[in-house]
Parts: sequence; structure tokens; C-alpha cells
Amino acid sequence: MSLDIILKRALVEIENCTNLATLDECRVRYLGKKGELTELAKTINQAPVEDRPRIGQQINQIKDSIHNEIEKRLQQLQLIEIEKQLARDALDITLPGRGQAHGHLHPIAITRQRIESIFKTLGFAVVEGPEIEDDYHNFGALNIPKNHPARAMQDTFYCENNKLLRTHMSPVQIRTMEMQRPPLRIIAPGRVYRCESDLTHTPMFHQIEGLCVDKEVTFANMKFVMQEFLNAFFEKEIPVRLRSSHFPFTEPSAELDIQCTQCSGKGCRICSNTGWLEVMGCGMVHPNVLKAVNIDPEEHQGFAFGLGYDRLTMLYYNVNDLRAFFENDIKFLHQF
Amino acid sequence: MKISEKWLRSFVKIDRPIQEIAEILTMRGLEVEEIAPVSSALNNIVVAEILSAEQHPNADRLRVCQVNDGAETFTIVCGAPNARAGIKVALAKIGAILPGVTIKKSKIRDVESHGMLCSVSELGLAEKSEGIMELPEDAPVGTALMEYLELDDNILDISITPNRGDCVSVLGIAREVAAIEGGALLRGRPTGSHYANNEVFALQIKNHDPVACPIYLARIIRDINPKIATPIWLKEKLRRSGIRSITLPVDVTNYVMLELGQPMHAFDLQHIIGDLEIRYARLDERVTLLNETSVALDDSALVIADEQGPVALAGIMGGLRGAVSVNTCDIILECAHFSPELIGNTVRQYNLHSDSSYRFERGVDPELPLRAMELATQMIVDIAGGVASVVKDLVTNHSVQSTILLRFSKLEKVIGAVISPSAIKNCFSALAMHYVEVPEGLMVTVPSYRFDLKIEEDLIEEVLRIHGCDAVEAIAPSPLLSLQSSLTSMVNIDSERLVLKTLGYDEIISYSFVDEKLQAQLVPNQKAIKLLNPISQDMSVMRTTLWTGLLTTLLYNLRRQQSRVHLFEQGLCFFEDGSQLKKLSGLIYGSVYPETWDSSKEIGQFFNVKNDVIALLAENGVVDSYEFMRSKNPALHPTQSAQLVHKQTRSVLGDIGVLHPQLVQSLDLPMSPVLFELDVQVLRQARICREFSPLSKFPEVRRDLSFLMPTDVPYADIHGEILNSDKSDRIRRVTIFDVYQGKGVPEGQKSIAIALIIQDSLKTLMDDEVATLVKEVIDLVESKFKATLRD
Repeated sequence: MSLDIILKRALVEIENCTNLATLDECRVRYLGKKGELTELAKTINQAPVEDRPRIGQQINQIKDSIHNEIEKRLQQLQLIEIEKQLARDALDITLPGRGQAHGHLHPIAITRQRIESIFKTLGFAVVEGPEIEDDYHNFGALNIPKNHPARAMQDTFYCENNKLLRTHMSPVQIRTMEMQRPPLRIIAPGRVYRCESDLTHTPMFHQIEGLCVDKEVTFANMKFVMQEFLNAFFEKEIPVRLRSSHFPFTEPSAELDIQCTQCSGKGCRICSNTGWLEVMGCGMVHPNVLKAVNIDPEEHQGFAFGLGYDRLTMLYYNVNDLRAFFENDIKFLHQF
Repeated sequence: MKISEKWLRSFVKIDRPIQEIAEILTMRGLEVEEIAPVSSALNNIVVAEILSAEQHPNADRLRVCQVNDGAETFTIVCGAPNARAGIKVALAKIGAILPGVTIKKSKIRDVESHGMLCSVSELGLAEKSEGIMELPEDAPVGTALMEYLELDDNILDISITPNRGDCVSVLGIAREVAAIEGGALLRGRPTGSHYANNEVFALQIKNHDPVACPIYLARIIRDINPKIATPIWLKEKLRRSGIRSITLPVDVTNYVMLELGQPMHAFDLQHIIGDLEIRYARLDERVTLLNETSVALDDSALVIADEQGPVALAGIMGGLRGAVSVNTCDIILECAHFSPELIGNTVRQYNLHSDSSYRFERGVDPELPLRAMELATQMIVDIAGGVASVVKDLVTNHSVQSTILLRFSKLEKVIGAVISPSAIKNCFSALAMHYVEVPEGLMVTVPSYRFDLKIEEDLIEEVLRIHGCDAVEAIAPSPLLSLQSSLTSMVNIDSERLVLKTLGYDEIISYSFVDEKLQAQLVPNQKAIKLLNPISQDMSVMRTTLWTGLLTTLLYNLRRQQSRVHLFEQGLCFFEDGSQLKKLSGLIYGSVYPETWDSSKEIGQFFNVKNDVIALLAENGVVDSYEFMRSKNPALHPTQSAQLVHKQTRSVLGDIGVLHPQLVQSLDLPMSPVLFELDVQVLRQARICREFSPLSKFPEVRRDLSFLMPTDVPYADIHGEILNSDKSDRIRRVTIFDVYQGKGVPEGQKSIAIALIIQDSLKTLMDDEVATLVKEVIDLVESKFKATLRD
């Protein structure tokens, strides 16, 4: 039989192999220990001596050719096999992931963290204090005498142990100044309590109070810090106005209004058509407050401010019902 | 405070639009919350006279009136019983628009009616009224009602801060407006008494406390005509300030209070028995007040009393006995000055608030009583006649006008901006406050009505108020380059909160006051601090555990169709001994993982929460510092709960466990929640600064061992014993990979499978070295725990 015919037949058979098993059978058939070409090579000594090198060479060439073709086909088939495998592996990648759900932080707590990080950048330290307070720290030391109408501004919860629930964060100011000498830059975030409950008031809410006391801290500095904070909080330049006001623990005192974030000052329901939203009270620490903690008001002065951050949270996230914050419906919490 | 624009304009010339005035007042600390028109535009309503009123032919209760408006006579059908000939009325002609109705020609029971005779409520001037509005006899027929009643007026609702007692009056606001407009008040202070006649003041008055009551003026007016009603203009002024008309003398005292800010009181002379005294109440003395409440007084309450007892609670409210009635002819007018502290104490002690006490506790100008007395007398006598006596005055040490030094340097130091001396002087001139220039600045004389100005800072505030807070330029403070580290110790536990968030917990914020009953179920042996004035019963005690809020929130969400709830909260708990401890607590309920196509449906159990708590320990580097002991927490399942105890200090960090089955039942929960509560302070104190230990380069070897042992052997003991007894220091870790009880294991026994991870730090271990070590472990476990090695 002509070697050429074997080669041709082998090439056709290789080509016809559609999987790795038949290809391997094919290899064994031609190149295996008992394969056709191996058998043929064994018959070489029957040929004339002078022809043997030539025939041997021819057989080797055909063996190489077949071997190469099998290798080529092998690679092709492997590729096909991989692709088949990959096709079998196909996932519906739109199915949900697996494992634990991610939790959510409370929006008011997120706001607190944001406010803290802004003030920390401005060099303020964060402090805390007790929530059940005594009359002295909540009122007396803050220049609010007993039975003064200023107390009626804040409906107080009283406890049976002759104490009260702090009505604002200002007692932390006093407690800090009792322990630390100026220069002071602190903020105190936390829960405060007032005995009122309606559509726009919850009996518990959150305030941050800030205090900056040094030798030359001015009203102008306060305005700067407030403006910087609000711009950072709302992530844009936010117009503000300072109105004269009265708090027993600051003199001079002011209310700070921001331009309504909802209508940009045009007037809407949120701002009662005034274009402004009252967000914080501030002022220069009253000399009587400094005296109460043995700081000489002729030597040191400073500013203080307080703001309810539940309201800021409502403005920032567009929450329209204050009470939702304390109902803790997880469908509400999962939005933040 | 509600104040009429027209009334204000009678005191001060206003050139700017009222909105602009309101804006400036707001910026100056007198926040104008609303400007509201007194009335809607009442066009086509005129003053008219009823010429005749005859019975309607077809209706018993209706009358057919002929009504003249000065030009024409109209036939009007009217149902009011007081519709009668000769009275002046408000006629709404065809086309008039009243609040809610448009007047049209109509036929009422076959009689054509050409308009309507209006009641006060139909005009929108009161909420309720009876019959049609009767206008005074001298009301000019044909005049538009709008004009006659001066209804083109606005009410300014101004929020007055507690320091500005001087502004709780038309006069006070007028002074502030004058400071804006730059003019003087149109009405100055009247001088002298117009009624200083020979009529004596017939009573004796004794003042027992001139400190509490430094000024007491009284005057008798006899023979007032009780038939004369309060004129409509006066009633209108009261109405616009939210005060009801009662009788003329009372209306006049209220008018004076609104106009000048000086509260007054009128007694019926005939009901006063004997002389008057200003004294403290006797213990358990009672007085029935004008609002018909009876109050038992103690000796801290100042009263005005006659021989029979108190007739008024000083500065707060008159008594029912001695009150002016519709028949009163002779009155005693009282005009006094009481100390704000005294009034404030009594107001809060008895929870009695009145327009009078509101003003007295904020402070009233001590110069006002005489002026007020004269004004009230004049009004009563002018309107209803009568003879006024001289004024009996009990006046003690009038406080001297004070002066305060304002240093320009101090003002600049506080504000941080330069305001020129001339601008500062302009501020005080605008406020009509006198000053004298001194080398450091100004010596300012404080007017008697600005009793709130006491110190230099108060004057700085006045300057800033008039100059404008908003005009101060913002200046960056100089930086403070200090970490103030000592202040940052007790800060919020944000890293632990993030760990829990990552572990799938939602953060809640619940009220610090909770339901007493629920909390008592959770902590039966702990007394909670009670609120004296809770909002409601379910918010009446302070929480002693965050679990109360967490379980309440769980129930809230279960009622809203949730079945899987993972919550945590951080916050203070409050204890009877006064301690307030910050806790971090959590709860899982329902499946561990959210429901999806391929997740485990495993229900959250003790060990899920234990793993989460260990993550919190890891956050603080203290996983190995704590051991889990059996918990005695009554809220938890007694055999599925643990207390975390520090191995060295023995301090307790908190509890974790499954809610007690009885509580699960009483709360009607379909499944058992698993809870944890940790004391944040304890966790923070235990916190360890982590230290590196070198890693070994040599291979680890693992050997698995399986033992049979009694079921009550705690794994932690085996784990600890193996590690502690390892003198070679080659056992790196011991892990447990199977616990089995049941078929194939004898009753009372359990099978546990542990793996020893063995490694040397200096060399690769030989098989025989490992075998020796493993043999030691087997011997140890078998001897210590009555265990046997399984094949």
C-alpha cells in the first residue's frame, strides 16, 4: 500500500474526529505500539537494503505529519471542549447574591457622624455627658434662674430622684469647662428631652452643642465657623442670615437661618413662605456662665451654638415626618 | 403676642411698608411670625338702620324688615330675634361677599329679600354670636362697615423672647418701630392726674412686703353707669389681640394692659369687706379664682385680701368674690408692681398662667402704674361716667436709673469687627437711650422699661441688634493646634456600629423612656427611674436595658409583615443608683440570612449572635480576654444564654442569649429572638493595644482527634486545657469541627472532633515529635474529662 494513501486516509480520519476520545483512538491506530505505521516500520527489513533508509525516512515523515495533524486537531477539540464546558457553567448573573444582608445605620446617627467629622476637621473635640442631669447643670449654671420664664421655653421632664432629663446639650458645656481650662473647642452631640409630642415635636430629639473659648474668639469667628459647617454639611454654598435673639446663656445671642433648601428662598410650605429655615441658636458665652465655672470673662471669651440635627437630617434626606425617625420601621431604615 | 397695625400706628409714624417693618423687627430679635388681615375684604356691607320690622306672613320665626342705608330702603327677611325697628345694623347688600357666602336676591317664603342683616360671626369677626350685630346708635348710616370698624387692619403676631418684657405691649413695639423709623413716639407720657379731686380713698391698705410689691396704687370710682356697654371700637381692639369682652371696667383694664403693658385689676367695691391688705396667704387658705378654680394656698403666695380673706392672687388672677359684675357701679381699680421672681414662683407652683402673670414674670416698667391708672380712669369715666377718688399710693424705694459703661475696645473684642463710635452712638439715639461720652466709650443711661439691660454685654447686644448681626463680616478663627486628647476618651463607638452594620444589623434609635410593664418583665428585680410627668404610660420609666426598646421595635415591625429583623442600638441605660451606662445591644429574629433563591433557611440561634459578639470583641482586640459563663439574666433562656466575664479582672461585659421561653410566649412571638447587650465602658477599658508576634516559616501539621465524653464537659475547658498544658509551645491552635450526640453514641455521652494545628517556630517537625505531642494531648483529654479516643 502506498504511504501516500495511508497519509491521506489518516488526515481524513483526524479531520473527522469530533471529540478527544476518537482522536486518541485515531492516534493509537496509526502511531500506537501496534499502530499501522508502527507495523509498517517493522516490515522495513523485508525491503532491499539500499531502499531501507529512504522507506524509513518516508515512514518517519508520514508519522511526523500525522502526529502534527493530531496535535493540531487536539488543540482545536480542547478549545471546543472548554467552550462547551463554559457554556455548561453559564450562570444567570442577574440572580441576587448570596450571604448576609448588609445592615443600615440610622439616618440621625449618620448625620451625627458627618457633623462630627466636619467639626473635627475644624479642630473641635467630641465630648459627651449624662442625660439625667441636675438642675444646676441644666439651668442654674447656664444663667437660667429658678422659675424664670426662660425655663418655660423648654418643657422639662422631671425624674423622681429630684433630677431631670437634660433639655439641651448645654450642660455638657458646663461639665467640660468644670474640668478643662481654655483654650477649648468642643462639640457635644446627644439626646435631649422635652415634654412635648405632636406632629413636629418628639419628646426626645438630638442636639449638637458647640463651644469655643479662648482669649480672642469673636462673634465674627462664630459666623465663620457656622457658615463653614453649613456649607460642608449641605455640600454647597448655603446662604445664611443671623438674627438677634435671646438665650440666657449667651450675650449677644442670635438665631441662624439658612435659605430654605427646598425652595431656594422662593417660599414654600417647609419654610412657611419666608424663604428661611431656623436651624440654630448661637451667641457669645454669657459672662455669668464663664463665672459659674471660674473662668474670668475679662480674660477669656467665646462662642457657643446649638442645633437640632434631627431637623438637619430631615432637610438633607428630604424626610417629611419627624416621628418616622423613632418608629424604626425597618423599611424606613433600609433607605439610608 | 398679637398686635393691631392700626393701634401701633396710633403710637408711631410708619412710612415703610408693614412687611419691611416686620422684617427688620425679626432681624432685631422680635420675630414677626405672621401678618394676617383682620378681616376679609367686606365690600358692599354698610351701616344701616331698621325702619320697621314686621312679622313674616308665612313664617313664625321670620321678620320682614325695612332697612335704610341712607340712600335707599330695602326689604330684608331676617330670622334674628333681636331684629327690631330703630337699631343700627350691618347690611350686606346684593353682591356682598361674606366668608363662605355671596349675597343674592332671594325669595324667602314668598317674600323677596334684598340682602342680609349680618351677625358678628357671619362677618367673620367672631367664631360664635347670637342674633344680628347691633351697632351703636351714633353709627353713621351709609358708611361702609369696613371703614366704620376700621377692618382694613393687620394683626402682627410677634414672638417675644423672655428678656423683652418691655415689648409685651403696643407701646413697647412702638418704641422698637420708632427706632427703625427714626422718629419720636406720637404719644408721650402724660403728666399729673386729671382726676385729682377731693374725693377721698375711703379704705386702708396695708402692705406686708414692700419687696414683693414695691408699688401699689388704688383708686375708687363710684357711680359708674352699669348699663353702658363697652364701645364697639374697644371691643374690636380687644378682639384683635385675642381678648374677650366682659364688662366695661374689665375691658378697660385689659385695654390698658395691651396698650401700655401694665396689668390692672378691678374689684367691686360693694363686695370688699373692710380694709385691704397685701399679705402672704395663711397655710391652707383657699381662694376661688375668676376662672372658677379653687386653689389651696400656702404661705409663699402673695394675696390681696380683705377682712374675710383673699380677693386676688397678687399679679396673677382676681378672685370670684369681689369680681366686677354687670351690675357693678362702684369699683376699686388696682395698679401695682410685683417682683418677677415672686410671680414666677407662684405661677409655676400653682400652674396658673394669665395675661397679667405673663407680663409680671417678665417684668413691667416701674414707671407705668400711675400712667396706666390715669388712662384707665379717664376711659371709664369718659365712657360710663362716675366719680374717681384720689389715688392711694403705697410706693417704696423706687429703683434708681442705672448707668452702664460701654467700652469701645470691649465691643470690638467681642464682636471681632470695628463699629465706629458714631455708629454706636446712633444705635443708642435710635433707641432713645441717653449716653455721656467718656474716654473709654459711652456711659449709657438705661431707661426704666429696659430692666433687661444689666451689664456691658447687654449693651453690646443692643448695638449689634440695631447695627445688624448679619452685617458682621465672618472671620476665620486662628487655628488651635492641639488634639485635646483627654477630651476624646468617651466618644461614640462608631467602629463597633460599622461592624454590626456589616454583619447585617439595622441601627435603631428608640426612646430612652419605655413601658414600665414590659421592662419589668425583662428585669423583674431592678427598679427603674420613674418620670414624674411622662408623655404617656408606655413612656413612663427610664430604660435599664436597651432590650426593652429593641423588643418593642421588633414587635412594631412584626406587626408590619416583617419576618426577619436584625437590630442594634447604642445608648445610655439609667440605674437607680444614679449611674448612666452606655450599652451596645442587638437582637436577631427569624432567618439568619435574607430570603433568596439559594440561601440557607437557617433560623438565627445563640451561636449566630455569639459569632457577632466575638466580632465586636475582635474589634477591640479582646477575643481571648473573655470567657462565656452561664448567665443568670432572667430575660434569657437559662440554658441558652451566657455572660461574658473577663478572664483576669472578672468584670462582666454583658449577656447574650435566647429570649426566655416564657417571655416569647407572653410577647406572643412566633419565634425566639436572640439578644446581646454589652457595656461599652467595660469593653473600652478592656481594649488591648495589639502586639505583633513573629510568624513561623516552618510547615504546619494538622492532626484530627475524636473523643467520646460526658455531655456536660464544656468545650472551652478542653480547649483551654490543651493549650495551657502544651509545654512545647507547638500547638498553635485547637479547633472543633464536629459535635455529635445521638445514634451510635451512648446515652449521656457526646462525640467531639477536634483538630490540633502543630508547628514549631525554629524547625520542621518530625513525625515522631508530632506523634508524641498528640499522644500527650490524648492522655490529657482522656484523664481530665473522662473521655475516650474514638477510632
